[in-house]
Amino acid sequence: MPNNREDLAFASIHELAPKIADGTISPVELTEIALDRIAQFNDVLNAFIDVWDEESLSAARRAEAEIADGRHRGPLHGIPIALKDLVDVAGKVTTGGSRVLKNNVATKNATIADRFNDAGAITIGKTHLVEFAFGPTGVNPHMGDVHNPWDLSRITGGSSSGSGSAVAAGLVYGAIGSDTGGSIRMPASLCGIAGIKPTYGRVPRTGVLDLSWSSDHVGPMTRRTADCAHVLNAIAGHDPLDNASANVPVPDFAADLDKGLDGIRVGVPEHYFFDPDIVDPEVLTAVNAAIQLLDRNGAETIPIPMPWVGDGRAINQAIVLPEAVAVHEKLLAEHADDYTPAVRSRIQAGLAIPAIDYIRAQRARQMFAEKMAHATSHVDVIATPSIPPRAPTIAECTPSPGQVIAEKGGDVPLFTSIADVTGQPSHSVLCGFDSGGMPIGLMITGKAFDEATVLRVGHAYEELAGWHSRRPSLA
Amino acid sequence: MNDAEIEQRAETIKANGIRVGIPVSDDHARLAATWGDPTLSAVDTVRSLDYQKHEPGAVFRPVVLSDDSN
Repeated sequence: MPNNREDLAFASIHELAPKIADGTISPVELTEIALDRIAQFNDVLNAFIDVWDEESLSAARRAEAEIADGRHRGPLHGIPIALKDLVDVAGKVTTGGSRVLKNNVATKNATIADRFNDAGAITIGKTHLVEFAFGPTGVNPHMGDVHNPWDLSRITGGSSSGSGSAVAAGLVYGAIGSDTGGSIRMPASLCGIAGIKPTYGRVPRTGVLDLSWSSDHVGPMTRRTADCAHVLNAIAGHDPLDNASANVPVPDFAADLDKGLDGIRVGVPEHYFFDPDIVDPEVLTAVNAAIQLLDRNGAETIPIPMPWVGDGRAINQAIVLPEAVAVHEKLLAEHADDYTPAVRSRIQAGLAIPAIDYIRAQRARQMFAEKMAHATSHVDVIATPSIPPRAPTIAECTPSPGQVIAEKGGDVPLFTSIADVTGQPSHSVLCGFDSGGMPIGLMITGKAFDEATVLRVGHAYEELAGWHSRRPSLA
Repeated sequence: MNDAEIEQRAETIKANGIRVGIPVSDDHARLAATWGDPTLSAVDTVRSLDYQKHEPGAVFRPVVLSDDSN
């Protein structure tokens, strides 16, 4: 049981929820702690773009009164959370991390914002992001870079940079990210937290800014895998307002968390993901050790040949670029000069891709997804590194004036983008630290609509490895 | 990618931008062309794949109005 304010700040939702339900822990106290830590650390982290002190304290008081009155709504009731600033909240500005939308006041809540409210969560504010969620490093020259709490000079990863930083620093218990090429799992890996990209269509995108309609996913980022399950329980489910929303049954994602690894078959790709020409040796060491830990504790590890899997990154790029320039057609026509040069140029690069190549990529995506389903039909999940490199510095990932390509950072999405092509659920969990003290992520990818098994494996690994007990030292 | 290829791609980006109403300055066209190098490599990779037996991954969905969406 947490016994001081810092312990409370770094406690898990899974741990806090029963204590909130029985009145041992106060939602008002948790919210005050979150607001105090944001006030203390946001100047150095730049994780939050907007913080709603009074509204969140009022919501916490209501939650506390409801719970005292015997109306506990579930594990998120009274828990402070944050939304990436591409999620609409009525009456609040949704900037998308861009000057272009500095006056973009939302008129309605996003579906997931409503679902958080229904679950009794305390939405404490909006987190920073890469401009229009289009970049893997967290660098944002116009709105300010977000800093990694494990080393302020290093990137958080993007595009859900503020969500990764805020959760890792114990400013909030969970945050929403979006993932089109890895934007939940890249910052989860680099910030040492858990983050799941659910199956495409599992979580509604209504009221969430688009980047690439056929590749955009929304999902939770938390310190523990079990907390991802609780957040997913609150936000998953069909939404008729979202064309891509899947009308399929939604299980209790937390139900299987404690079932362990017995009988779990873990596929280990023989190609690409463990190529020493692509992956940093310290990342390889940590991820191989994690897989061995799974194997020694009940899971069966099975090598899987997939010599074609590296093509997934190319398919992702050939789909996202044309869709992004279409998404931004009107904004670019009216506000092109307000974009950062790098993001403007990345989006406009889509103008060079003919329509037939976009359609070829969508056909290749279907082929690729079928290959992946067949290759992994005899396993429950595959385990890989989340990202190939160790964390580069912000300076190394900042393009020089007149450039759009930085020295480093371009290889960060090589692995995460694969599941954005196939739509499979894919989860990053902390699996160690490099020699510089920066987190390393293990990526667990499962079958479509089987988030429960992915989370079961992630939770089992966390319990065995215990890396989550480390905290960044910010004070 | 050599300078001539970058210039050619920059012209394509600028011309396509004008066609669809997106202003693209010479500088930004050149930046986009430069950044587009890995992207267009991706397109070349996609062209080389055996996708011919597959329909696009994103397809049109017919609209059925429910009573409360009229």
